[in-house]
Amino acid sequence: MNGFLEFIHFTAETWRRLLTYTRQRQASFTVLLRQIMFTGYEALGLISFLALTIGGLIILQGNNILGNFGQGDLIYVILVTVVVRELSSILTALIVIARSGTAISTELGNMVVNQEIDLLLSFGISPVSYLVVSRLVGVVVATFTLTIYFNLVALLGGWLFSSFFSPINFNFFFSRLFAELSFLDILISVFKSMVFGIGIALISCYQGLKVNIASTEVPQRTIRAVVLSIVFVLFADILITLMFYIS
Amino acid sequence: MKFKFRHTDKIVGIFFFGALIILLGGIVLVALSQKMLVKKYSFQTRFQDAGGISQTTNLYFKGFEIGRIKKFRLNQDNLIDVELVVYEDYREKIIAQSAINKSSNPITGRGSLEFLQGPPGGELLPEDSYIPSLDMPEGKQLLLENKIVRSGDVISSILKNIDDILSNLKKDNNPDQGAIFRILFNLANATETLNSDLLTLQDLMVNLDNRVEQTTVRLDDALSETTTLIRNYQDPAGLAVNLIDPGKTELIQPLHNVLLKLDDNLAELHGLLLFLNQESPEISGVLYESRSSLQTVQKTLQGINNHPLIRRGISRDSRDINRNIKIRPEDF
Repeated sequence: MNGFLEFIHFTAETWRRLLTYTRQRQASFTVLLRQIMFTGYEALGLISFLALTIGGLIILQGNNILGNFGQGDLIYVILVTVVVRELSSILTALIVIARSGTAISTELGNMVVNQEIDLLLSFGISPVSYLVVSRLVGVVVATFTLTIYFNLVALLGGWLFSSFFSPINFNFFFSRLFAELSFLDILISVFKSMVFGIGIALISCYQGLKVNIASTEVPQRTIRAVVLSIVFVLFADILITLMFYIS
Repeated sequence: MKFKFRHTDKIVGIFFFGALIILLGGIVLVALSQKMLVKKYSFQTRFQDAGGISQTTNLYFKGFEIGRIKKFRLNQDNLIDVELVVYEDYREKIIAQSAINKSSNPITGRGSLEFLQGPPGGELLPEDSYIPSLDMPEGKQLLLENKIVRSGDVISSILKNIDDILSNLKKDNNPDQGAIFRILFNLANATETLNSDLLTLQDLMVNLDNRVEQTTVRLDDALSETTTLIRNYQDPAGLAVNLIDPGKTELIQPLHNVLLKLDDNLAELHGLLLFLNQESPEISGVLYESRSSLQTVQKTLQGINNHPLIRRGISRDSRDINRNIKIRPEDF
């Protein structure tokens, strides 16, 4: 319970520092750019590969099953429902957790062990302001951006795989797809990615900064960051889905 | 790696703004595909229930999406008031005496609305006019008066075809209709006649069996008599023969000839019974008995023919003892 309250306090402090983020822009902006570079741009290849295969597999399985009873048109509904609404944000979040969540937690943990955090404090620089806020913004922006690319590549992958087995006109495929897609689907996909990004960044930073003295604490905190981030992503996904679609 | 560090801001800028452009492009495409930027005209309709319809249900005409549902609500009379919008491109299709048909896919449960256009040359309906649906009496009346033609979806078409076939099957009073039913009826009659004929044939076969059995029994008796007669002639010291026909030309030789002819006839009868045995397995048992008897007779006659003095002809067969004893009880 104490840990949870401490995390709430840490979150509040991060949001407070976020409001004054523009004041120490120069140093933090470089950290922010590098964070987006690492979390977003460098993960683009992996995300694209994953999206392409997922989109293709959905088309293959969907055509196989739905085509048997003349409901091949439902493939567009499945693509929108599965890829845009759910998989894009969840899979992107899992990749971000695996690559950046672990990296952030390890990096901050090692900084604590090496007393770099104490050094920042001694200079009167808030580690939350300098390290956490830039990582939070970086991870959120990267997750949001990667989710958009994931959607684009998965839908293109769907068309590409469809074309392999039964040639389908590009315009026809995307006109049918966009007819099934609504603003709400796009909004929710984007909203989820931002929520997931916030959760992953906060949990990873908090677990990294929770390291006390020993370097053996670092991997333990990293593992905890990964587990808690995954749990958060799944619970948040259920809640958002319930909030928008069920109600 | 140095390139990345040197141009981090540019790479990140392209990466981020590229995604933003894609997002905005997607939003614009969704808006265009859902005709959000197209001018729309509002119309009203009414259904018995809201099954299969939603805020995203589209209105189709000849397979083209010409509009969609804007909103719907349950009114005081427990009917569903629906507000439709029709896109500007299809505004002129909405003419008087048109109707709307609601259908739903039984697999997905998703519904669709079909616009059924009234007679050509009809007056253009003003905006916010009421277009009756086929759920309502006004729509049904238009359908009955053939002012609109109903054309359902694929599943409805299949169901309609099945319905037509079933209707044709029911009709038998019109010579041009109900062909399938008549074929089935004639087939049923033919089957009944065939069944009756088979029963008659079965009776005939039973009678034939009985007759063959009776004939065989009589033949068996006759052969027994013949055997007895021949035995009487087997005595070489019979005085009666010497007295009646010492030269063996008056009685013995004619009798010998008669027996030869009888032998020939019995061979033919044997062939006939063999044929009957092949034709009717049911009477094969009877024929088997007959054949055995005939073989016995044939042996006896051969014995007579081979022994002019009628001496020591055929030794008695062990089976001959029971020849006249019936194996089966009378009432079997």
